Amino acid sequence: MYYLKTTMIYLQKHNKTTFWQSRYFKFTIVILIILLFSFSYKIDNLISNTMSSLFKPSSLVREIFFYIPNILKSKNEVLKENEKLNQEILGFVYESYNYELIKDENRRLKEALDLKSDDMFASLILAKYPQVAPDTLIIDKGSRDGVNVSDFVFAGDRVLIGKIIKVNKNNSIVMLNSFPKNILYGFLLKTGDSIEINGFGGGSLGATIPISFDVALGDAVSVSMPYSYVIAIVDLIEEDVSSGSKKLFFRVPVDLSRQSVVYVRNTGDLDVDAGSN
Amino acid sequence: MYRIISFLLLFSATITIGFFAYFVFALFYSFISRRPYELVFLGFILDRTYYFGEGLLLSNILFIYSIIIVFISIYTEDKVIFKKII
Repeated sequence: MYYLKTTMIYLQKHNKTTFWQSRYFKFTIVILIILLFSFSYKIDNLISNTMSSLFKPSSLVREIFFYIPNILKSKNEVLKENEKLNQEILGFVYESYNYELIKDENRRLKEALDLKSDDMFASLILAKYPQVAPDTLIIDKGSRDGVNVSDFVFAGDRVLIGKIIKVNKNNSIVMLNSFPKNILYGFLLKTGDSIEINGFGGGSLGATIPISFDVALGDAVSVSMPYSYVIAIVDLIEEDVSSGSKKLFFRVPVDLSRQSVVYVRNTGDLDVDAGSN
Repeated sequence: MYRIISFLLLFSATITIGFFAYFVFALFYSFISRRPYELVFLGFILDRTYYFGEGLLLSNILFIYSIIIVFISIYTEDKVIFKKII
């Protein structure tokens, strides 16, 4: 019996491994190798380029997946929707005529004032929330197309939605105005009062202003750089009489979930005083 | 082979569904596989793709999350058999 006990203890002692042979050591080596890779700019670029080519098919898969309920709709529903869409198209046609007229007038006014013409270039949205982090977008233009960090991103002609935060060779990441802790300095279009807007995340923006400010629902806030661009529209006003302030909540003027194209404009050509921080 | 396929599935599911899916899938993957070192690679790759903000924690959030769950998985591999529990 005594002999058996000693043999077992002997065997147990032999099975024990040191730290250098343990699984923790292997794990540490894996982390160290990855950290070593993280210093390489080429690896970073390789990853981002590979990922940008993967986002397109994955977006397609998402679209197909979310289109399945539409296929299962009844014929009557489809007919009703078709009628509604036809009316919407008619409305858009009228709007496009107006838009062309305004655009032409704008061009002529710019020429008369001897202002620089817009040098925006269009870019496709590769991925948006929930595929990527909230309040960010990935677009298909990168350093190869002349995009730089801090360039402004627009939805349409006059709506500033964010700025470029990271540039890769083939794609860039856009930080939207509503990104948490993002601060924007603008002014109310109606009165010209300056205002500081904070991003709250999740597509919402807010600001605290003195109670005496003349603000109404639907008022637009813009930045000037040198033309005026709309950044937000007042959506909700909460008055706090005890502290003598008003809390404003804003919404972005465009529905980004439906947007597939954005416009990038280089900041190098602009005199930016009142843009985002 | 099984590990490579699982890794690719996890990767493509995260890209298609969204970044938040990684938190759930990675946790599940760490339960069913032994010593899932590949999660650390995946976390590193995804951190380079998404932007969560500045700073060490926010810019490496998925990498840090992966390290934590892989460490827990390694630490508990002798103590708990997750395959049996699941």
